[in-house]
Amino acid sequence: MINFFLNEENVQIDCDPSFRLLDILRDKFQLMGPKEGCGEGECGACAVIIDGKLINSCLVAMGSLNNSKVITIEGYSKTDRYKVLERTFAEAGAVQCGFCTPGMIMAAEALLSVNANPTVEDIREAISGNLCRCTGYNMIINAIKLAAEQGVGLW
Amino acid sequence: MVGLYPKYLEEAVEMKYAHKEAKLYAGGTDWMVRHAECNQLLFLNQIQELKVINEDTDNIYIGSGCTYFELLNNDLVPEILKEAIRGIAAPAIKNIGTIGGNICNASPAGDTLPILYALGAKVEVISVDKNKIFPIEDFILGVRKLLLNDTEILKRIIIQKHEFSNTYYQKVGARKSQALSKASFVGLANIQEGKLVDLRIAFGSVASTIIRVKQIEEKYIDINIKELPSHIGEIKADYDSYIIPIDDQRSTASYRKAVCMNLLEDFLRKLK
Repeated sequence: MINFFLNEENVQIDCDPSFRLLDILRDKFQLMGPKEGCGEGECGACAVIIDGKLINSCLVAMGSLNNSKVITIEGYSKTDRYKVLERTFAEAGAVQCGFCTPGMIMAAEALLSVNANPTVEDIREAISGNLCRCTGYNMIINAIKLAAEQGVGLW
Repeated sequence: MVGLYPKYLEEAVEMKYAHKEAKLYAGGTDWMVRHAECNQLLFLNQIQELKVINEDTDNIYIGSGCTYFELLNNDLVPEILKEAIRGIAAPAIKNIGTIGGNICNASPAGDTLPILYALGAKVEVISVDKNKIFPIEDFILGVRKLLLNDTEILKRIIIQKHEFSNTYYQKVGARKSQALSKASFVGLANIQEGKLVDLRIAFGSVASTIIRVKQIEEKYIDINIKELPSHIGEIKADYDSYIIPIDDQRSTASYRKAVCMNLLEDFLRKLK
């Protein structure tokens, strides 16, 4: 039995320890925010936050999770921080098809939680593992910059 | 599939001894992509002893379970190793990928490997009844081939403390982030009173293992740094037969070879 915390709720699951966290999130918990883009850790569409760190859920075996705290976009969307990012992503035109967006938001949170006032270079590095084929990135960078400005005191 | 979850290193080696077929899972970033066939998976990621970084008078000891992120945030880790780690993948990989995994994958494109070869790193391997220490170049035998038997676990990496007056590292990839290297080069040197007293050069992604040729390095020790430019052609010729890259999806053999020779020359010309 694998025990972990999913969006602050203690959960147990009996599954093959080599199963990917991404599949368990989507298939067992119906959390469709994390997406499978590449399945190789290159696109960041499946990114979640585990114990405070941005991690690609396609590269996480369930057996490695023992008691970890996993936050997906669904859990994060209940926070005030998310509300700021949601607004600035819309303001900056940072969402087009939306496939990369949950991963981008999680990458933004992972950055802002350790660096509340990031430079453009910091933001570029923070989202360097997240591919977006629509926006050309500049709008996403602006959105994160705006969130840092508008969310003073939240991070 | 059966999972084994040791909390301590002692427990881990006992489990490995009892379950010789078990595959070792460190960060998982490579294993999860390959998903190699196995019936038992021994998870190393909960073992705190493998995350220790410490030092004594002569050496730095890096636990094999340290993630790239943890290495970047530790003052004992040599700067040149950090430089290579910064070029690895992106934050979400740096947060779980481990140095032990990078070594044990034994890929010629492993980004920490040229640095570890150039620094003369040693590895410490542990099993129920023995600890063994040997140079990294003896541990890595070829692509995905290690001198590690089915009862052993890589415990830590040992790096001798050493200052270099010149350090040079370049990774050549398709882009800055998320790229596997087409070729990589590290050059370390010490120059004292105008003389080259220490020289270490290593190449990645140009043969089945990292290339470091000590006899070439030794040949140029004690040379006057002002005379070095006149030897550059000779040094490049010395390395010629060792740089034997292949064509693959990332690059071509001829490009890799040309870029390695250019990096070697650039490093040598910048020595002062």
